[in-house]
Amino acid sequence: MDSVLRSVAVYLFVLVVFRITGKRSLSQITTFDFILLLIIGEATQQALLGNDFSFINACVVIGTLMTLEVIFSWLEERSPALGRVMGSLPVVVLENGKLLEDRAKREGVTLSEILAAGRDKHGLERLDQFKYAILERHGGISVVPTEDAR
Amino acid sequence: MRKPGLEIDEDLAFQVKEWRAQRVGIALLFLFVLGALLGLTGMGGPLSHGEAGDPDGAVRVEYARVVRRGNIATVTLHLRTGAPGDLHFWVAAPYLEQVKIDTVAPHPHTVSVAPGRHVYAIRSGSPEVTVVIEMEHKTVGRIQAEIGLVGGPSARFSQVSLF
Repeated sequence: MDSVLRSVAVYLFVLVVFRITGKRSLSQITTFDFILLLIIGEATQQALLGNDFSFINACVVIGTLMTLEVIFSWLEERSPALGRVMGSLPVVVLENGKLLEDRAKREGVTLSEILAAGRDKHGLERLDQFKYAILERHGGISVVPTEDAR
Repeated sequence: MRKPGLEIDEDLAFQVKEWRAQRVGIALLFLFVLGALLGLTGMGGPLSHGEAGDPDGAVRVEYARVVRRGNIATVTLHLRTGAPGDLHFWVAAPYLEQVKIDTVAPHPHTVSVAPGRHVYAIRSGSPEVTVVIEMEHKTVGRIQAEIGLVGGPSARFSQVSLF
């Protein structure tokens, strides 16, 4: 029982923490962010397993986490409102070459990150080649180039 | 919400609420970390240290107000008997049901069971003795404890054990 309770508690805590720190916390941005995710993984390992490193305990923990994932996916499917609370929505942060500064600031997205996404995905060179830049639910930035830039 | 040429499930009204909720959540996260720094989640910190004792000072207990289940916490007893020799102190049985004693230093030469308590005997060349008990907490929630001298005063204290 202890393993199940630990797993549920850790799952919910990590879910809430990543939810309140914003979409960008979910996507790898820099080496430091990647390292941070690794450290968080290590920190949760002890909390999940406690002093029990048996095979069956690992199975219980993994089983509990996956069960929670299935339950929340099912709930999100049935309730769009819950889906929004759990997973957020995409946000347009740049439109027709103009940065929507308030939204970008609130989401922690900088112009240089948007330009990097444009270069990476479409080889765009200038801001006037961007039609839309959207911060997606998963924290990544998707870019829609203008007709001329395609 | 739609923009020209872009089908997107954007809802700015919801987004504003989300940003507000994130600000509140981050403030709570900061408070949580601050509380942990101050000792409210156990394992040290200025607010985690507690003391209890009898008015004459024959029994003084230093303990952690907040402990964590499965972790080792220390209770330090400062006992005064007035004369050197064998010192007998007891720990209430209900407390012992919620903790697992790891070590008692100095090591008692006898441990016996009396109604509602366990009695420890320590040889001491001094009328004042400091006993350090390391214990692992087995339960979650509020724990009531009482420790005292046999035939003498006792000290009561409570701890909160976190999951």
